[in-house]
This record gives sequence, C-alpha cells and structure tokens, in this order.
Amino acid sequence: MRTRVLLAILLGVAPLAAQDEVALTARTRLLDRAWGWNGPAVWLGGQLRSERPSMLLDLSASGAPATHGSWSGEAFGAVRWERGVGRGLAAFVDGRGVLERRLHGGLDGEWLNGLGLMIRRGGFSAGAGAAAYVGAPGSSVGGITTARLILGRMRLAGELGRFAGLGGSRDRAGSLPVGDSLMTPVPPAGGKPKAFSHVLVDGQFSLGVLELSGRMIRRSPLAEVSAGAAGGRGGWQLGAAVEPWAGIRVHFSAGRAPAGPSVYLPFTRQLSFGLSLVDRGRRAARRDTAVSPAARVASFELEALPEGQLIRVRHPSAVQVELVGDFSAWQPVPMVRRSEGWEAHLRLMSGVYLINLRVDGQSLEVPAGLSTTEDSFGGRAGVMIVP
Amino acid sequence: MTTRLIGALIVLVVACSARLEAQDPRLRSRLDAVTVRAVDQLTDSARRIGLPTEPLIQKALEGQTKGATGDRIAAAVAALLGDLARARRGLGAGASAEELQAGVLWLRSGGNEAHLAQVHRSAGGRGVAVPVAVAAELLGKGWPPDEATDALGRLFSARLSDAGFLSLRDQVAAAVRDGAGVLPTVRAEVTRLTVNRGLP
Repeated sequence: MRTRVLLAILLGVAPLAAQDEVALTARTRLLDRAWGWNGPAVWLGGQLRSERPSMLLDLSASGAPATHGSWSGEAFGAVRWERGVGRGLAAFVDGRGVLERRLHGGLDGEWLNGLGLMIRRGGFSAGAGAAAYVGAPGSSVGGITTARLILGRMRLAGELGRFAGLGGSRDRAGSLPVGDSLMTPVPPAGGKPKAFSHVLVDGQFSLGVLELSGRMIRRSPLAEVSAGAAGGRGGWQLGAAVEPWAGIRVHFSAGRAPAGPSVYLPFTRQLSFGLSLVDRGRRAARRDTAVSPAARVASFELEALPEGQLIRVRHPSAVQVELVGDFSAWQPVPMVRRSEGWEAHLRLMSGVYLINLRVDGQSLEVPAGLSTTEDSFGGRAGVMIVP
Repeated sequence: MTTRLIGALIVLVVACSARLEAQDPRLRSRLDAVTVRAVDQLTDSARRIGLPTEPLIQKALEGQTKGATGDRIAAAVAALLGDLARARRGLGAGASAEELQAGVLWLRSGGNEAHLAQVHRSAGGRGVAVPVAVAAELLGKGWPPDEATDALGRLFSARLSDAGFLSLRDQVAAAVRDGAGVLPTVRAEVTRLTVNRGLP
C-alpha cells in the first residue's frame, strides 16, 4: 500500500487498472561506483509507456564525476488494425536525453497464435529516424562534438509463453502487447504470465554500420533470467531478477556494456545491483475481478447531469467502446475517448437498466463496478440503477 | 360463391394485417420470422395477463445483439415472462414495470416471491424498484434473502430514500474495495441508517 501511494504521488496518475504497471528502480554499478535510478516507468493498459528521467551518476576512475540522463516516452496505437490473430501497429518513439536526442518512427507487425494457455507470438519492426549525441561534460567522452546520425532500425522477436486464465483469448480480443524499456514484451492485458520466453534480435544501422544484438529472456512469476550479446563490439550481459516479496524486485547483472544510456559510449565491465518497487494495480484488479474476470480493465461511473446522465468507463486498451443495453434497444451507442476514460451522454428515465460494453466492435463485456445478472445467453449483463 | 371467397380473403388479409401490426417493428427488423412469431406469442400472453411487454422485447433484442439462436432467444423471453409473473405475484398487481424488473433481479439473485410480498407490505405504498434492485445486488454478494427482507422493512420505516439506498450500495462497495467483508459492512450500514433515525 505504501508503495502504491508513493508511486501514485510520484506519478500523479489515476488509480491503476489491473494491467497497469509502475516500476521505480534504483541501481548501482559495483565496479565503477556509479549509481542511479530508472523510472518511474509506467505501462498503462499495455498501450502507453513513459519513462521518467533516468539518471546515472558516474564516479568512475576516469576523473571528475559525470552524470548521464535520459527521458523517453513511447506511445502506441495511433494506428492499429487487426484481423483474426494478426495485428499490426504503427509506433512513434520519441526519446530526448542529455546525451542522446532521438526521434524515430516505425512500423511494427506481430504474428500471434494463441490457443488455450499457450501463446506463440512473433514480431518484427522496422523504423528510421535521426539521433544526435552530445558528450556530457566530465564523462569519458566529454567534449566530443555532437554527432548526428541517421538511424535505421529493425527488430525480430519471438515468444512462447503460458498465460493464466483467459490471457490468450483476451489478448486476441484487443489488448496490444508492447515492449518495455528493454524491448521485452509485457504480458497481455488480463493475462498474468506463468512462464514466458522471449528471444529478440535487434539491429541498428547507422554510419554505414549494422550493429546486431541478441537477447534471450525467461520470465516466470518469481524470477527472470536473461542473457544478451551485442555483436561487433563485444558487449554481453547476464542478468537475473527475483521478486521475493510482491512489489519488490531485486536485480543482478554482470557484463560488458556501454557506460551510459547511449549505445555509442565506450563499453566497460559492469557488475550491477538494483532494486525495483513495482505496482501492478493490484487493488483495481481485485475489485474488478469480483465483478467479471473479462472486465478487469474497465470501471463504470454514472454521473447525474442537469439533463440526463454521463456514463464513464475506463478501458485504456480499447480503440473503440460502445454501450449497448435495453435503454437503446441493444443498439450500440458510441462512447467518446476523454482523458478520464470513455464517455457517453444518455437521457434516461429513472429505473433499472441492463448494460454491456462492446469493445473494439467485438467482445461484449460487463463494466466493472456494476453488479451483474445472468443474461440467459451464456453471459452476463451489468445492472445499472438510474435514480 | 365468388363473393364469399373474396369476403373470406378480405377477412384473412385484415386478420393477417392486424397480426403484423401487433408485432413490434424492432423485432421484425432484427429477428427471423420464426423467432418473431415465438416472441410475439409470448408478448401476447404477457399483454393478456397485464404484464409489461417491453422487457420481453428488450430481452429478444439483447439476444439478437449477443448472437443467440432463435430458440435460445425464445427460451430466454419465456423464462423472463415466468419471472415477471412471479415478481408480480410477490409485489402485487399494482407493481410498475420497473418494480417488476427489479423483482426479477431479486428472484434471480436467490430471493423468492414470499420475500417480495413481505417487501411490498412493508413498503407502505412507496416505490420499491430502487430498493429491491439494490438489495438484489447485495443478495448476489452473499446477503441472505431473509435478512435482506427484514432490513428493507426497517429501512422503509426509517424513510430511507432511493438515493439513500444507492448510497448504501456505494458505501458497501467502497468498504469491500478496502478489504472489508460484504456481510459485516451491510449489517453495519443498515444499523447505522436505522439507529441514526431513532429506530431500533
């Protein structure tokens, strides 16, 4: 609870839904006495990622202390289309840092085959952009003239995982798995991974050189093990993370990696230790689950207006939400996306109404926060009381 | 002979026209003819015994929206008709459509007609749609129907308004979100609402 409050204060965000995750990580490099922190990193509904400034204070033997920093954010889903089990998205990535200024856009595509508890997923992405690098004063590359690069980027990823509950089917129904700061796909909304393997090949082309890197991750509810290598410059890293207590994650890693957030910095040997505070919206998940496992991401509010009612639901992973119910002869009433969620104005007489949400034109869900009743068609409908 | 035949045809056409007019146009436009006929027979039955037909039509439309087969739609409408009739037996012939719908929720949440009859008696003529719907919601979360029926009577005596019932529901939901149990919270809230109003 304290973790949640702390993170909420830091972020200034609304209460988290079940699939939202926030991580605040402190880390230290043991060999060169550098320390820093990452985050809070935020994933809202698996759709939006934001990493608040990441800072690293480098006390290495090279001389005066240096600081490295970065700030990046990613937004997905500006354009998305789905057909069957395939999906695609256009991604826009913007990163601005003390050392690196980068802007690139790209196109991601994913192939997904998930039935039952097993999910197989492949992904690719390609993009292009530009980056500028400035050596931070006092660092080992301090004073280097800004370099401006034209970037090309490609990524191939494959995954195999077992997901609890309805993770697979819900994933196909509309959530959008995206990568975290390490380009590791996060679990689909509503599907907590029991075990999760991920293989990634990442390539970046700049200045006529293609830099390839590879990474393997095995993630289970209690631990994560990773191994990676960057071709050409001899970088490598072995890592492990365990979550001995819910919300507390401990990281260890060793390897040879760039001294700071930019891959163009000199490589150094590293031995790192880190601690993360993680919040995954557990309270929201518990509340929502009590209503409907299929509606963990939604919440329902009915607000009386001078003329009619305002219905608001929270469904961050949806691209289209409509209300259906006996107030509209079960015909869809479009909802409009606002900052607080999806909204629709209705003019209803007082009474008891049955209601469902149609999400992305397909699945019918019960808004969390409403009581439900069997609908006689194998599902449930929410019960909305209008005073 | 010809005149008689024409007359019989006219009677038949008029009868068929009247039959078509009895069917709800929303049903005709969204359901197949066989299902429309089945639902129409059920709504006719409801009309004959003075039950509201709109909930039945809405149930059929709900089934269409949810992709149910015609047979399943007809079965769902028939089941609802039966529950509406049971709700009316409990809530009395003067119950409104909204009260009957709330009564159906009550029945489908574990309550019975006798409970509804007791609620109807204790209401003293006030509308019971919202109280019964709120109580039905709490029945679904484990509130025993007998206890809920008694509590409704006490809350009616305390002149709790519809808004008060909704507030009660919200208070319980908030407490449950904070980790409290449903039953202790409901009991505490009912006690608070009745004791604070000078009632035992």
